[in-house]
Amino acid sequence: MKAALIAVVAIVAVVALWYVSTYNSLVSEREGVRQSWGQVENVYQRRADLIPNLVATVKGYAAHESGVFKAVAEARAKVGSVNVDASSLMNNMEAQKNFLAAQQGLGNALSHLIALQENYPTLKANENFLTLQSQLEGTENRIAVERGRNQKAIQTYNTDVQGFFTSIIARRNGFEVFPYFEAKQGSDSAPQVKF
Amino acid sequence: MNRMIRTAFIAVMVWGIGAAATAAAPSVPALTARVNDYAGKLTDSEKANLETMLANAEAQSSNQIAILIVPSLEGDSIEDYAQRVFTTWKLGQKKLDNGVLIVWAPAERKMRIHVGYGLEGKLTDAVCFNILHRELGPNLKAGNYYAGLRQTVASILLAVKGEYKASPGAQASGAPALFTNSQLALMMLFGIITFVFACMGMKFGTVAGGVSGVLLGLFGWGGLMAVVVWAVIGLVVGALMRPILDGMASGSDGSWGGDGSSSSDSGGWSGGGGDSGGGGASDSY
Repeated sequence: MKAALIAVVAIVAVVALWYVSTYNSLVSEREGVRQSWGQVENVYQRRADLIPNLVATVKGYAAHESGVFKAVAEARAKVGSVNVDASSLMNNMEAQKNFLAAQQGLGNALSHLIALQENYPTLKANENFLTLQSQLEGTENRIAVERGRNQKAIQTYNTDVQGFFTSIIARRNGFEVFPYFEAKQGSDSAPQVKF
Repeated sequence: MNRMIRTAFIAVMVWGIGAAATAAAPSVPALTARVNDYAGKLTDSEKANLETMLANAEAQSSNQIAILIVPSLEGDSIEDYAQRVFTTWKLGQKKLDNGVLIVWAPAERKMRIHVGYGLEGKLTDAVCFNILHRELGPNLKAGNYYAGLRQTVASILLAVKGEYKASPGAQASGAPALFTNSQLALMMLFGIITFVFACMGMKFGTVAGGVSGVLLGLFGWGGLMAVVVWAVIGLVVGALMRPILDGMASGSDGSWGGDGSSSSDSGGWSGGGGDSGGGGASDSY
């Protein structure tokens, strides 16, 4: 009798322990997804901040390439217009898609800007331009890293939310699957600038 | 007694499977010392000199700087490769993320300075690019490998100087914790389960039917003794296996800081748990 009682108590303790630890890990994983998305937005912002300097430098050597400058300005304006609050963006597949598409458009415009150096040897040799270009490449690399981390965080969280036993806890406590927009292969890699 | 041994054996098996599943990350070379020359570009004394330089820097500022010379990138981009190596080696102190990785791939004629989160402020992309473009690149081109790397390290140290004060606490990167919290929790869980089955076993006998019949048989009649023995064996085996598992995880063969580069600490050298978000710059020469 006594042994059975101990057994029951022990089983209850194990279940409670499991429940609490699973709940906690879901909370921290969801927080991880939000945090990593915040990082993604940070690095995109970092790229946007580089643009004025970059444009000014290139303009000094290729002032009449107005089409390229216009495209950069437009793409940048578009990025600014879709930039909404991080938490809702994360839960909204459509907004996320628009955000990433706008960022990708800016990336393309910038790679055209960088490519102008092929036609302007003095620009290509300019130290300031080389430095700005390395900063842009560095930022593109950061974007790739942080986006990869965000996707990984979402994957981990979603897998847990949908897990066989975990899903019981997840459903009871309102943990929902994060929709995420999977970028096409290579679309978020650094612009390829060949010398 | 026989049954207890069997119980312990199964526990060890479970442990081993769990630990093996966490070991992964191929194609990142082993971290053997601060200077990892897999392409044979440096002499032993050159390696030792760089090693001393980097060790002194870490002693002063806790910044962890490592050099990797890799024969080939095997088609990978140097940015992705450096990021993978960095996050595997975990350069820099935990929380401070003050690590730097210098990668040189002679076959591709590419080089990169990869910077941890914590040093991005001082060691900006532009600074890294300038170091590569003006100092390391020309030297490598001229065949002055050692001089180039030495100057690169000197410039990096100059750039990061003063970013972090050497705090005594930040230095304690030596011994990792014996068990992580999750491992301890797992051990406790197994202990409780064993105990439960033991209690049930006493009550119902070892051949009780139902779904848990097999488990009951395995764990039954051990009682409290089984829990104690299991915990002790688990601890001992875990402690013994720990270095092996760590070795597997980092792809190391267990020989730290081997020939020539023995100026590192007696216990070898490893990353302090730092992280990188892909900062830094690359260049070709």
